[in-house]
Amino acid sequence: MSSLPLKLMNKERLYWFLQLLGWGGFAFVIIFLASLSSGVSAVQVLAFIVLAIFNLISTHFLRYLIKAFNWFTLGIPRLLFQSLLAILALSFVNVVAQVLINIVFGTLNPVEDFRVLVILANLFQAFLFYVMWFLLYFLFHFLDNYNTSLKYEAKINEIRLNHLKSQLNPHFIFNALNSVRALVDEDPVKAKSAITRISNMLRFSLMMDKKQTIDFEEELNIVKDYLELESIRFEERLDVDYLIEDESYSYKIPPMMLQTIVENAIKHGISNLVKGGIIEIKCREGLDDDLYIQVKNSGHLDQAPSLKSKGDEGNGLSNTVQRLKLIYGDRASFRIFNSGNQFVITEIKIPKQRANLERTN
Amino acid sequence: MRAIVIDDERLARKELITLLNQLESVEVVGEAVNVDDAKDKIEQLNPDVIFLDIQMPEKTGFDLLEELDNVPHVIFTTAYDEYALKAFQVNALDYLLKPIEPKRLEEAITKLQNKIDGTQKTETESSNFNSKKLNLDDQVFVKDGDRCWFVKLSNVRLFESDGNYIKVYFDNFKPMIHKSLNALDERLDEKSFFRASRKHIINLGWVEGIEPWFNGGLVVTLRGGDKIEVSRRQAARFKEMMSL
Repeated sequence: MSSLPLKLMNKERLYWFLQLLGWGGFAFVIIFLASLSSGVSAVQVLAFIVLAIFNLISTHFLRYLIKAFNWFTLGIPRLLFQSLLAILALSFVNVVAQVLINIVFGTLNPVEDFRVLVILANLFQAFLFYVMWFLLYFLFHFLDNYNTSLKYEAKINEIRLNHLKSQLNPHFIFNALNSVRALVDEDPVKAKSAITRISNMLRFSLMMDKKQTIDFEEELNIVKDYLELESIRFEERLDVDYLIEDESYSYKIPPMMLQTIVENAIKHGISNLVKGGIIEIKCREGLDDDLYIQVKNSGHLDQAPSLKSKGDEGNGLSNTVQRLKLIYGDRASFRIFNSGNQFVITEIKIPKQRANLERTN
Repeated sequence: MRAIVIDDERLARKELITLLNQLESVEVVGEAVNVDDAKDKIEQLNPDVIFLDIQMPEKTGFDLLEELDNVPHVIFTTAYDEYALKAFQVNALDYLLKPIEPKRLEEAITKLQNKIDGTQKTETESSNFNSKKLNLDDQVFVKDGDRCWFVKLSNVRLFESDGNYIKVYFDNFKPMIHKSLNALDERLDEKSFFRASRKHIINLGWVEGIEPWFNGGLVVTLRGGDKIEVSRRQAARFKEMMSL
């Protein structure tokens, strides 16, 4: 949290920088304009500079009012009324100050300067300057706040996404290890390759949480490892088929998402069937630059699984739906439905990755 | 000790059988791949112990226990099943986590051996005249929602019928099992359990007081305070049974 005071200091510095630049510029411009029309004396220059300094001090006072009475929290009507009143008052003071400055520097021209029209013009000019200052001040604050809330939103989304990310299912890991133990005697070569696959999956699940999306191929390889391991467990009860279009490899997808869907298909499909069944993974590109991923498994959906539940155990599918929504908004979709009586199809649609979705830090 | 290994995965069965074969006190007499298969094998082979996987296709290990009339000793085997294990902590039923540690397995077997030796002694003492009937030392498996119990019948004071279910009263619990009271009555040892009325079977070991009631009936008070009415017809039988 050490960055917070630092940030505040920077803001304070920025304020003074803008104030000095603004009113310095103001002094420079009026001196320049006056010199164009009739030439200026050193005393006049000094008077203009003092006026600029007065403006700086008076706007600083306005800022003090805004901060001290928390004008940012006011409603629009109240804010308009109060600010208008304050600016009008300041404008009057400004006109009086101009006269006083002129008196002090002996640059007063009573005949010219006390004409009602001139006083009104001066008043109007001061009013305009204050209004401009006020608008800039509020605009700056508004943008700054907007930025912060955007950052905040992004951070919250990131936290949510991390929470939704599926971890490797421990039940699967321990069952796989148990099978491997039996395989060591029965088929040492197969046991070795199974160990490699398990370590691939563990490594992947440890590294993937740094990324929001990964190459399709990377995910597919993990799913292949996973299904290979489940085939060792389920043996002839599991039949796997891949139908992957080449275009699929140009897409990026959220890590562990296909894996979660396949795991779900195994858990609710194959592992519930005494005779086992099939898992078929089909990936194709749609017409609109999006990727359709379908996972078909033997089994039957008795009732639509609740996709909105937020139970503690973290329903894999409802997490998938929420993740899709957080990453892609409405451009992604999720469906799960019965295909005839024998199969269940889970389908997700993922849009082609845009660069701005990548995490910047 | 004769054992049956029940798991839907061949390699998991193989692994456990390999481990069990290294122990002298255990003889694996069979293996089963699902609940129905297991039910047949258990009735056929009458093992002392079953090693039971919880997650199996169509029916779980819990379903098997519910379906069995005579439950042998059970050691659960599971990979990672927080939920199920939590359900069992109340009864401290033994379970092994896959992959199974040989030392843990040996401990579980030793523990079980002691338990079997203990019950065998009491069984011979009480001259078990009808092995098919459930007596006070037998355990029944009760599952109600998420919770499971493996209750010794001597701890059950009362069975109460409630529609198609029976409420089983023990400790502070009264979970329901899906069974008819008549079917249960036939399975229970009549020396220990008495059919008090159409709705109730009481454990005679829990009877604390008996009072006469209207129409020649009786009211039995059980330890813990439950009062059960005995119908007139049954009251006559009750008196007959309880008198010298």
